[in-house]
Amino acid sequence: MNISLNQITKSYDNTQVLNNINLSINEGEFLTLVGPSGCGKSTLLRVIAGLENASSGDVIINNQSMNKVRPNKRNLAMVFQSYALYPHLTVKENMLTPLKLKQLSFWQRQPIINRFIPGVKTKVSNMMETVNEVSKTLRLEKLLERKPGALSGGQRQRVALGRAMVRNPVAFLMDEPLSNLDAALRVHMRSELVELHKKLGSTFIYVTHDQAEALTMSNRIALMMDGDLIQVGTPEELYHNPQDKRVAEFIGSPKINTLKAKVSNGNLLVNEYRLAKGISLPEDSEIDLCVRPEDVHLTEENADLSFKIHHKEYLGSDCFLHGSIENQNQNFLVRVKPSEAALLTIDQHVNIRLQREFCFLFDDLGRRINSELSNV
Amino acid sequence: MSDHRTNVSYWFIAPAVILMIVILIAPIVIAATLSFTDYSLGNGKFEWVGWENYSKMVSRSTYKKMINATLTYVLVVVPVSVLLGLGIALLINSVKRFGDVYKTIYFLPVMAALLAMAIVWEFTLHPTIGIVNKTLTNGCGTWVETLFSWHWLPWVSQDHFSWYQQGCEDSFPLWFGNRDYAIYTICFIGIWQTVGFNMVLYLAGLTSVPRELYQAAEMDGASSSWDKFWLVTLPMLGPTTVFVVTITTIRSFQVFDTVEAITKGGPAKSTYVMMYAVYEKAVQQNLIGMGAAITVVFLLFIFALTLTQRYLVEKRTHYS
Repeated sequence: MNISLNQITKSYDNTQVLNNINLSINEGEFLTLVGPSGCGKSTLLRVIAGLENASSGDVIINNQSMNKVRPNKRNLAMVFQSYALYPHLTVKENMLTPLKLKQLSFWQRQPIINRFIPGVKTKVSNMMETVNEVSKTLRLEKLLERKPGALSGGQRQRVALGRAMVRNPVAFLMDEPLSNLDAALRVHMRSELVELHKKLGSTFIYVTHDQAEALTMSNRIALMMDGDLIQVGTPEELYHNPQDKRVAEFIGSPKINTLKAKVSNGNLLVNEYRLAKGISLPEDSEIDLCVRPEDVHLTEENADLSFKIHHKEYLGSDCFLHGSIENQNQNFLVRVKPSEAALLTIDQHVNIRLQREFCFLFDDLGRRINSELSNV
Repeated sequence: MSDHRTNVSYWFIAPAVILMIVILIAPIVIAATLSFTDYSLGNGKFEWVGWENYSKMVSRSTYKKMINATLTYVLVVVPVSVLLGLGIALLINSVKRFGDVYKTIYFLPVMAALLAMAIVWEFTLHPTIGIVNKTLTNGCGTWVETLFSWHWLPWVSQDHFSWYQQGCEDSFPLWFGNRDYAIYTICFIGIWQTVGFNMVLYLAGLTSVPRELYQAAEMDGASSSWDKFWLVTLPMLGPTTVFVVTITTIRSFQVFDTVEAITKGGPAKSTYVMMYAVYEKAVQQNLIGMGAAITVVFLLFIFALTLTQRYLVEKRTHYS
């Protein structure tokens, strides 16, 4: 039951929305498509669902091309951002709808007429068993007779999931399902979804613009930008081993620090300070050095750079120092313990040391330079 | 805060309340009062006649015909124009090009003055010089008559004398002069005029149906347009439908222009609709009391309708 995408492209008129996407999704995997808004992640999900057709390329489910297969025959279920529940039907009827459409014939589905067709009742009561089972899993039993209008956001969310679950689909496609919830509920639903994924064991393809959701929930993350699939990997890989500067900048909050650096005689220079040696790069090449705020430490000796504190951001467990480094036009962040921060004052200059093994180098096109930084 | 309560609030609502009483409530109360009198305009005095005006409405055949004509008009025009309006709106909504052109064409009768259009229809349907009967007559004796004799249908017997053959034999109907046809011809003009309006209302309703619902339906297995219509479109158009039906019904109860311009309530009172009756009694014959009584009955119809609409809107079609 694996899903794979083969050289998918999609363009509207002259705008290319998806560029040659290749992705293979394993059975039972929780895969997150993440990227800023407008990167094409939702379009890709719709292409998988069949709600939109790719301009070229193949969607392959179970070794069969789905290009000519209608959405309802692909056996995928989708959870929409707005939940898209039928507002005139009760929770129960909402969850029965996909079963009815699948298992009843055309005439058996028509109102009034179906009362005169034998067998409809038994079929519907069989479906009700499925609905009851699913509603037990999602704790919806008490809400079955209500209409969506009388439910809270989280409850609607669960009904939308239930409507997807009753059909036992090959994969669940979720289009930013948590973005309409308030912050506390969103965090709660994250863990519920992960639990559900474990329990069901089916494939989840999850679209979000929130890198925190992607990091916390997924087995693998596929990061998209401007219609390109930039990097696919586990959350740890994307965080600790970004292959592109855009990946490094998108994953992780607060954003990763960037320093302009130069190569001279095999030395890596930041502000003329020799940070590392033995770099095998062309002379005078301009490169970006990225380092996360938690991989920068305040130090008394062996300092790399001097850092001027502009303000302190207190978060309880941590404190972020916002500031700048001379000759570098980008803001610089350092994570410290609140106890350390208490001793520091605004506009103070402190010495910092970058942890070499977590410094990422990127060339002028944003590609990762795989080069171990050895201490001077 | 209750210590500081003053009467200032009454001053704030006074203008609205006074205006409402003067221009809405008072006329209705006066009309209701007049309906129990034999007042006519210009007379200094009037007599209280009790329920006489109302009992006339029950006993006299004229008023039975009035109710009959009015209800016939409403019961024909409302369902036909609502369903046609919905159908046309769905069709226009589904075309990719020329949607605006169609919209304009169907909306033209709404914009035109009905009185002027009534005169156009009078000429169009004129028994001797009208284009409709001319065309029908020209078809006699040709393949058109053969076609509309229906004899080519296997289940129609050869002895059957169809409506068209009848027309060729005698003459085609006097659309406004025949009491079997007159009210339906008026209905036809009413439908012709109302469809465009209902279509526009439905088009507005259709734009508010969320696209994600159609996609959810598609994912759930509603692949045919028929399934999607019953699962998404029609339920989501519920509020629009209640509004369209109510407004069409009220407008149909108020039909006047076509009747006044073409048939004057005839022939044999077959098109004697309520508004025309009010006009004839109160304005032409100066029987204000009788006119007021008809108006009160008319208001009761409208009031009942409004209550039904409120009930339906609140209970049935507003889902959130």
